[in-house]
Amino acid sequence: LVKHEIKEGQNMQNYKMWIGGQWVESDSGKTFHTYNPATGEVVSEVPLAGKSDVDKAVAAARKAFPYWSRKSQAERSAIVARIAAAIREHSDELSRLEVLEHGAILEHALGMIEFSAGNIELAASGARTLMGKVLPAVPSMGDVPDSTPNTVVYLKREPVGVCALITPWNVPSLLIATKIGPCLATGNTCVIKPPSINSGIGLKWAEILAKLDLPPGIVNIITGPGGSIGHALATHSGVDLISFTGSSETGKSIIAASSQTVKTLMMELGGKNPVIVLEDADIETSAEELCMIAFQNVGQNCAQPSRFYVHEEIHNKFVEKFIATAKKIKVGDPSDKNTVMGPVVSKEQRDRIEGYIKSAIDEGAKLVLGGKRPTTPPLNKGYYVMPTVFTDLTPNMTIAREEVFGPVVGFFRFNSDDKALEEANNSVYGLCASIWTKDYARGLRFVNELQVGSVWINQHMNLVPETPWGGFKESGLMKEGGVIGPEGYTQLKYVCIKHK
Amino acid sequence: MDTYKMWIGGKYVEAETGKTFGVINPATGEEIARVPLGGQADVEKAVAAATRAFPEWSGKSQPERSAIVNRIGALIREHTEELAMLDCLDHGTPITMARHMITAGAAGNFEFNAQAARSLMADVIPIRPDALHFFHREPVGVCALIIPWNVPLPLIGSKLGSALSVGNTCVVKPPSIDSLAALKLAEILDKAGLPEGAVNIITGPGDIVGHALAVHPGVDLISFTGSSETGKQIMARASQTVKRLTLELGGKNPFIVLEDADIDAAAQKAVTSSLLNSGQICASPGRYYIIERHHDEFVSKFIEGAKNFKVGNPLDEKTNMGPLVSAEHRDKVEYYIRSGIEEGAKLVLGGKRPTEPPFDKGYYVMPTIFTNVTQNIKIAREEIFGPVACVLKYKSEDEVIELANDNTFGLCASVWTRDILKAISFAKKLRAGTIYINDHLTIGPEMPWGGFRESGIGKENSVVGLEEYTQLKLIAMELTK
Repeated sequence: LVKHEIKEGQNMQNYKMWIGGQWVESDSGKTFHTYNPATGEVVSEVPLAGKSDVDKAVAAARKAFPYWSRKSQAERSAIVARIAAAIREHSDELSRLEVLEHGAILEHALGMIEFSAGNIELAASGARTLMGKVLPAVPSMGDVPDSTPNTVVYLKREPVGVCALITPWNVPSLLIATKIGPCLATGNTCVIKPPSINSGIGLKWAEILAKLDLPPGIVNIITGPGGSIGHALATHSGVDLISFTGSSETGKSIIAASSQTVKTLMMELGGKNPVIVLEDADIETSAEELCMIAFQNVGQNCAQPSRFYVHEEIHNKFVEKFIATAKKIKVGDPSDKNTVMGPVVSKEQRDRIEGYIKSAIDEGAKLVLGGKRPTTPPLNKGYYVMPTVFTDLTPNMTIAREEVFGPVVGFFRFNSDDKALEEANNSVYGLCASIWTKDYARGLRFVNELQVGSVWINQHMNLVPETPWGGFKESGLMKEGGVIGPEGYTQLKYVCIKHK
Repeated sequence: MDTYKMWIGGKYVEAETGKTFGVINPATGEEIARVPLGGQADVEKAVAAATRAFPEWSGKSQPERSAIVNRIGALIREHTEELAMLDCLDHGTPITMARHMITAGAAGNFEFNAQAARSLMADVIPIRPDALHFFHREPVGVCALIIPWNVPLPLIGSKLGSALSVGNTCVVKPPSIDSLAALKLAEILDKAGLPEGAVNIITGPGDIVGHALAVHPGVDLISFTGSSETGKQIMARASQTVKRLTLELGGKNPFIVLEDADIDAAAQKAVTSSLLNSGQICASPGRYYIIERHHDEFVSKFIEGAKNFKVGNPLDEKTNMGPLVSAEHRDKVEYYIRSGIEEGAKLVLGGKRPTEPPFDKGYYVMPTIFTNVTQNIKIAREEIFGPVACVLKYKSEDEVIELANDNTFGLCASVWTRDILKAISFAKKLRAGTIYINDHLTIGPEMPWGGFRESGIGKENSVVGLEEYTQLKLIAMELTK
């Protein structure tokens, strides 16, 4: 952990971890702090878990599994639906913490909590109709050829077991919800590791869940750095499934670590998402809409647009409108209700983003907006980066290839559909994309050719609880959530019964 | 002249009464064959044979059953020329189209169903680990498949292919006026390895044989394709023994050309959709709604295309359109043409029989186009089932959706526009079972087919259609006691 100067905020809270239905310290007794990215002040003090805490949490989840997985589906769905209701009841409390610890603006935080409750509700519903399959009967070994097959053959759906849910800091509550809903609804138990820098939010979830009288151990929440406890979960022989959302880099190390125990994996990793604006698009509305989407949550969403391919006929007009819109974005204290964009989540993240900005300038991209921190107090104390726009990108620049995860976008020009497609697909990522045009036949050809997991036409990042999410290529493995969410947390057992 | 036999319990038989009736070549008016006049007693025999065959056929493993149905497809392909010729002779199908109906239509349907049935699954329902609730998917039993005269072989492929693949046994009643290819099919089925009586084919008038099947307590499911009028009678009769029903009935299908449509493409498709099989296809457009601005252009291109659609002897490889199926049907189509003229529509093409020999002897009606058709005249409301196109003008998109939906049929519709978004919103508002966008009339084994409203019940073709020939039994097991 990076050493921070300790400046205790007025509202600093101490949290404990939640293992086997008990509130516990870490075995070592050590703790660490989380910070308000708008001020640098300490928000939470949380236990620093180690290997032995992971063992305890996994053991608790393992112990709870038989009881939880044997419950009737109706009962389990009812309990999961109660979690959704509790999250909604504590919406204010959770949102305030997202503002303090993550730097989200209140409106966004409230939206994400509602989204979280929606995800859990849908999982509770979906699990009730998640069917196994009965297959046509097969002949048994030794049967007389052509005789009637005396078998019943079916695929039975079962929970996978103990799931490690490793959640990211970009939308802390939402991703806990996306994973915990389908995981629990289908009969699994879990160990949640929230992001270390937003550990307070994770343990606030524990406080809410603790009031619900859940069977002890079905959910365990432990806090600590990914490098130690994330790794411990990934290699733990008692963990059957890992659902991870985060960077491709970390994802790859988890895949490698988990390979030795052959775990089921659900990986939602990075993106470098192209937006393709064709010459017949509505420039005004598309530029405005895309600008607001690009800088929402300070550009820290995996689904956000980052590579803009704009047809050369309209490129300049589009960029002009985009910049004009970006200039109007009010950057400021996330607790101020007029603020549209707050700080990035941490000092490290700001430094990383600034590194990308510098590389873009060095490599010849043209900075047309932002690129700096705000200098006026009190913003100079927080981890702010102003909305930043580059033009004249070329395919090999670092800014064109790597995920920045901040309020930075880059523009390319193109003059043929084939060229735009080729460049858009020229990435190791394949998370999502959008196409902006009035010509839907042309738009649908892009849909067919783009190597990404989600595509929008004339919108971007329109995500609802029903949306399953998951990328192609190095953006991940499998789809998570949405109407098919519960499916991902089950395994199919082939059963063949011979009868008289 | 050939006298055909029925096929019951694996035997080629005459009607119990020994009576036969004549089959006429609609291109010449000549009798070309005689077929048995089946009656109540023959229906009894056929249902009994199907009932006897059911345990063996339904007891076969799925791979074996699918292999046999697939073999039927292959044998049909081998006999394409022979079957196509019969279709050509007793229905008047132009020979090139007849071949296509046998290969892609009949054989294609048997093959698709054989494949689809191998992975037709049922659900295991999530309850709790100490209870097992699952569906056992079973065949329905004895199915009566009542086939229409417009495309008999493809529809036998669809209905018989589905019914057999999932383990039902069947009584097939082909249409009286063009049953020759269906009776010939018995010889093919005979070679495929079916148990005796798994399929029975009987001929005779719908109001006797069809009626007897519809009320028969031994019949579990009726699949009928034909007119809405007959469909309603079958439904009423079948109601007394609560049979499962699949009904594919009539249509008066709107073909809607919007302001930004490709008029050439629309007019070209209008010609083939209206005139293919002499307009005797349930999916044919019954009403052309053309935006005012493009009306005249569309009509002139439609007329030009229709004039080039070659009417002639069905045996001629160059013929695009043959005669109507029968004298009675020609009279019915001509009645509609007269009614169109009397009610003020403007006849801009055709409307008559050809007069030059040899066509004067067949039941031909030339490609016919009416303009100035108004929404409430008879030809705009009723299914004509002939080579008669009715063109209506409209002014606004809202208006045309209302006009298109203003009919008791709801089989299919098409929307012509370059704006896919608009097409989708149109598709959602139209009350019909299939909506084509920039296309019309395409049907294939993978495409579920079935209308809304008085156009029918259920779907045929595709996996959804196959499911109609099965029933689900819930097996609910307690494992604790």
